[in-house]
Amino acid sequence: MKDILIKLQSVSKIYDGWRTALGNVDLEIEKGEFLLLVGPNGAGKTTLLKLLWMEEEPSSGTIFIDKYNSLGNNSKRLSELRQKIGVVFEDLKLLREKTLEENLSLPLRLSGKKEKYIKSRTTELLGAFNLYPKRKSLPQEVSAGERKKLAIARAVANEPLIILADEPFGGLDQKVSFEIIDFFREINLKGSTVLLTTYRTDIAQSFKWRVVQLEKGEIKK
Amino acid sequence: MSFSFFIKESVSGFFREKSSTLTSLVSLTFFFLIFGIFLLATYNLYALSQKVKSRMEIDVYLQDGLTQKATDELKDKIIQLEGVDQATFRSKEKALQELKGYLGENVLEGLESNPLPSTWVIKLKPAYQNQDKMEKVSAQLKKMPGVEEVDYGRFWVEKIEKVFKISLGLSLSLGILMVAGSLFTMMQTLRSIRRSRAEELKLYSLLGAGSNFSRRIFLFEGVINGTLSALLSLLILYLLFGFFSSFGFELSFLPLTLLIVFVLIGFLLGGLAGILSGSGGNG
Repeated sequence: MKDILIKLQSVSKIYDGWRTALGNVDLEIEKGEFLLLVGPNGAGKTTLLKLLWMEEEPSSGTIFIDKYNSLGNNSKRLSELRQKIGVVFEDLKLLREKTLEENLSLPLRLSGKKEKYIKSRTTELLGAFNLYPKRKSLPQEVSAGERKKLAIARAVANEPLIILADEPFGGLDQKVSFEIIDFFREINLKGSTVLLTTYRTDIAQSFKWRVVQLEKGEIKK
Repeated sequence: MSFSFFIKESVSGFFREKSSTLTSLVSLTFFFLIFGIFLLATYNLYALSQKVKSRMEIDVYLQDGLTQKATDELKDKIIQLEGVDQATFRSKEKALQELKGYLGENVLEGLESNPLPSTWVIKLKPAYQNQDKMEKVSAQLKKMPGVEEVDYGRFWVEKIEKVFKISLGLSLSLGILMVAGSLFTMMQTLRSIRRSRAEELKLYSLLGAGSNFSRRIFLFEGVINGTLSALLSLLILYLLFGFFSSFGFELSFLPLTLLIVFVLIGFLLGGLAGILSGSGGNG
């Protein structure tokens, strides 16, 4: 029997009353699955992810994630759900005033982890992503690739149930992109369900796991 | 989340918006200082009025030729009146002596007889040392047999109470203005900080912080702002007090209870501004 972790049931998202970003999407993702969502710009990939981390609500339909759903979440439940999801935002959303180390430790602090654990987990991740020597630097002082790694490290810091990454390969060459896929694969092997989005067909073609294609807000395959 | 992280996040808003924080702190300190000056003036007027009132007495002049028995009976009646603390007898002779003491022996040389009446000098209990109560007690005394006239220095009591009431009214009005002004200033500052940190707070929410996190941050920032302004204004007030006292003014500084209330007002106002400016979700 399938262990469904994420389920989208007839989900639509319409902006300004007329612009359809997602139309009647049905999608099931199993626990521990590694999935790539592909499609050109404007296909609705980011919208779908925003609905999953519940930054936005669907115009119709329901989203089920673990024991949560998109209907009637209060602030506490929303906060609980978000602590179970690690997100790599398309624009990374790294704080310019905070060092790499401080940026990385944010989810751990916000979820109330103990200082000792925060220190050791942060050090472990900085090491794993080869960022330790630059831990005291600000995000704008390191390379684009390193910023991307930092965003991924921050997303996995809490060992979340689900990882959502919006265009994690944007602006990166194929070699670094595959390195990043390897990072996510490792995280997936540790038990997290991973959903990545990309517009890059070269990555989609060589991707060994499940690929879902999105076009004009609808799932094609 | 750890308390130190929370404090760091709260305080960082101030440094992010240095100019508006500084402007707000200076304006608030000014508001609090003006209020403090009037509060200090009112407090000193109150202390002065209490001091004067505590020395105030009601003079009950007795009719000429009143027997010793009637005088003693009158005292019994006086003592039984509500609000009377004590009654001291001043004989005609003593009254004359005292007058001579004030005016000098020579002034009263031509007098054939002593025109001054015997008097029961009455001291009222502290709760009765105000114009209304003194008036009421005087009216009751006037009706007593053997009483010629009653005098309690009404003019002075009226004057002191009037000045005190005006000062109290001014302090209260200024207090209300200060509350409104401070609240507005603090809310503007906190909103400006909120705008500058909007992206950051949204990120915290997306990382699972919950909407209470930013509310608590703004509550705390408001409390720091309000309390700090109240403390700063008290410091300046104390320096001003020291300066004026050095010129020989006999002033008293605000008592500890009022100081605590003053700081508490800053604390609560800051908290209220924080709640009002921090309300509304952050994603």
